[in-house]
Amino acid sequence: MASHNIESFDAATSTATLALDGGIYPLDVVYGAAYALIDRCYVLLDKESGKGGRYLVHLRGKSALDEIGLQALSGEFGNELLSQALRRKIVKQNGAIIEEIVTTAIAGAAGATMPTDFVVEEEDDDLDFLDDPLGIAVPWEEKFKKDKSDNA
Amino acid sequence: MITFAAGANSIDLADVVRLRKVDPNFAVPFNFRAVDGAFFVSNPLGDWIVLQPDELRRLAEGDATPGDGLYERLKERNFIAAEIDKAAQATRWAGKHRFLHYGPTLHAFVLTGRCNFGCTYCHSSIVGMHRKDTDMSIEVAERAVDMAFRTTSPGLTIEFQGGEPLANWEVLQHIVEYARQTNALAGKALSFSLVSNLTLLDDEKLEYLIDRRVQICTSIDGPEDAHNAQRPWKDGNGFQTTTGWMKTINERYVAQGLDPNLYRVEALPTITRPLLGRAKDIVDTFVGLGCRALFLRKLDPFGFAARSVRQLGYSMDDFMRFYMEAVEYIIELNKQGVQVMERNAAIMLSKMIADYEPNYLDLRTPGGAVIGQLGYHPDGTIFSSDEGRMVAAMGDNAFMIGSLDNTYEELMTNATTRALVIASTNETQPDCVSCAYKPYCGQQPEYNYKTQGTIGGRMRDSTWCRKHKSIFDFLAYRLKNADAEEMEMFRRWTTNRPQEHFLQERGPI
Repeated sequence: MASHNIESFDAATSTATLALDGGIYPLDVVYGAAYALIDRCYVLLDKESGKGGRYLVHLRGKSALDEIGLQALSGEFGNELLSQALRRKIVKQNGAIIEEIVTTAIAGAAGATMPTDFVVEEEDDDLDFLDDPLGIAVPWEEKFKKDKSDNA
Repeated sequence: MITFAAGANSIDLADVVRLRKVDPNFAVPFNFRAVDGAFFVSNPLGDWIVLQPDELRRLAEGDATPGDGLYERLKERNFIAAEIDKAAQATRWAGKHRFLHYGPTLHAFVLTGRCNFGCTYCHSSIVGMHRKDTDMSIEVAERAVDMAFRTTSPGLTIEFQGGEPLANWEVLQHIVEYARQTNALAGKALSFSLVSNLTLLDDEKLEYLIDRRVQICTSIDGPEDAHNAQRPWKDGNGFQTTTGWMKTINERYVAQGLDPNLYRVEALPTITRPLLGRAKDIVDTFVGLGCRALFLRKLDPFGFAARSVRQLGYSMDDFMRFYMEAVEYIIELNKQGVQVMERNAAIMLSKMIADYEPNYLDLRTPGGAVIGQLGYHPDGTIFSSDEGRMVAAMGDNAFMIGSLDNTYEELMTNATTRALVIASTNETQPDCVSCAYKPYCGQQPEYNYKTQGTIGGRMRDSTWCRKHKSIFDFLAYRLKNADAEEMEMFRRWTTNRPQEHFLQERGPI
């Protein structure tokens, strides 16, 4: 079976090794999928020698794993690989709309844009409320600054 | 028959819809999903329609002409590209996405890590009452208020969280006074919300909270025995004490002349495995307490809940069985004249049938992390959300976006924020991009990270997706088969009446 060529399991060392065709999976997708598993296993990436050599992914469980556990880990990696690859493709396809939404959202939150109906009109007829009995207008840096001698 | 999310929606499209030649110019982009032998079809504007298999074929092939029934139905729901009033629809879309233009509205202040309860599922990873070192100080509190007021949002809610926030009463009061003073200049729509078990409340504190219009929320997990088992309190009967205060507070609202249908203590249950078989008991308890709404919350993967999942956890199918039983019962009660609703359903129905975006932060796109909410830890660090700080309480600062030493602009634009906004945008998500419920849905990067290891997650095997898609399936089924009485009831659930009493005075106080 083809899977024998791309997956192998060693329960003695709790290690699953996968060989990936670089023509199918870009390297950054392999990085992304591998990174998602680092709370569960130690990851080592390698590459077969020679032109067109496959990426080798070694996943060693942080706790002991039998063959069933290694198969599950390998399967999880495969699913994450597909998810990352598909996400990459979708982000590329939807790039314009994503950029528009994210830029608007971050600019809106940071204050770069402000729809006019949100602008608060300035009050200038009664400034009594500017009295500051609690000292709240004092910048916190001044209010809580430590005496420099404390640091000496 | 109701089909559920993620694989169970297994109708073979080719068997029921025999497409010949698709006309790519006839319809606006649409997604569809099998529901009860038909298809729930939605467009990016949030319109939806239920089509029979042959009607879906005709939509895809452009096999409908003006004057025929299907064409007119499609036109009314904005599915025919040539019939769209683009300017009007652009305005409509922008209106529902106003939140894109302003920053965080919800500011969760963790006043302390201390708590006098020992809830079996606690999401917040609390500490004992002697640990005053976990309290927020006056200095941090003022700086956090200053940061909160930097939001570009015209409105903000400061939510007091814990631990048990009443344990740090002095700082809570100080924040209220300081924020009110600050708002004299800022003029924002400011409100306060307290999330408390209420057991540390006394008459003096209540007088203050009522006087300062602080909205009060609590947790009730169902009938007394279940509540006290899940939320043990060594000093007494938690259910009796909490519900006693709920009654007192509700009476105070009535005494103030407030509409009791709108102003009540909001109580939320957290559903654990022992509660799964008690859907009706839970609904009856809330109705008995005079509550008008239940928010049936699934167990979170955060805090102690993550550690106690073997005892308290359940499958999503189990949760959905519980959820449907509870909501079917709520519908039955409504038909008997009892005014009660389920909040998940109400939020989704608002989007689906009222064309209203309630800005519920967990179910919008981009999600609410950072740009919709911030979580302020007592030590001055700032997190993407309340859930973000819960992840931190488990020893992982992945969602710490900075601290009070940063500027507001730095928080809103840093690399973590950008990553969270992108990750929670549905247009980046496999599955979401082709989902019929995409116009109404959203996801939470913190949940994705905690359950699947990445902020993007994988919706196909995500319990987040499965839960929401299943509830949408349930609602789509109910909407498809609803009679006039049920539609009127669903519309009533979507009625949005702002609780203006809880807004602080704008300008001088």
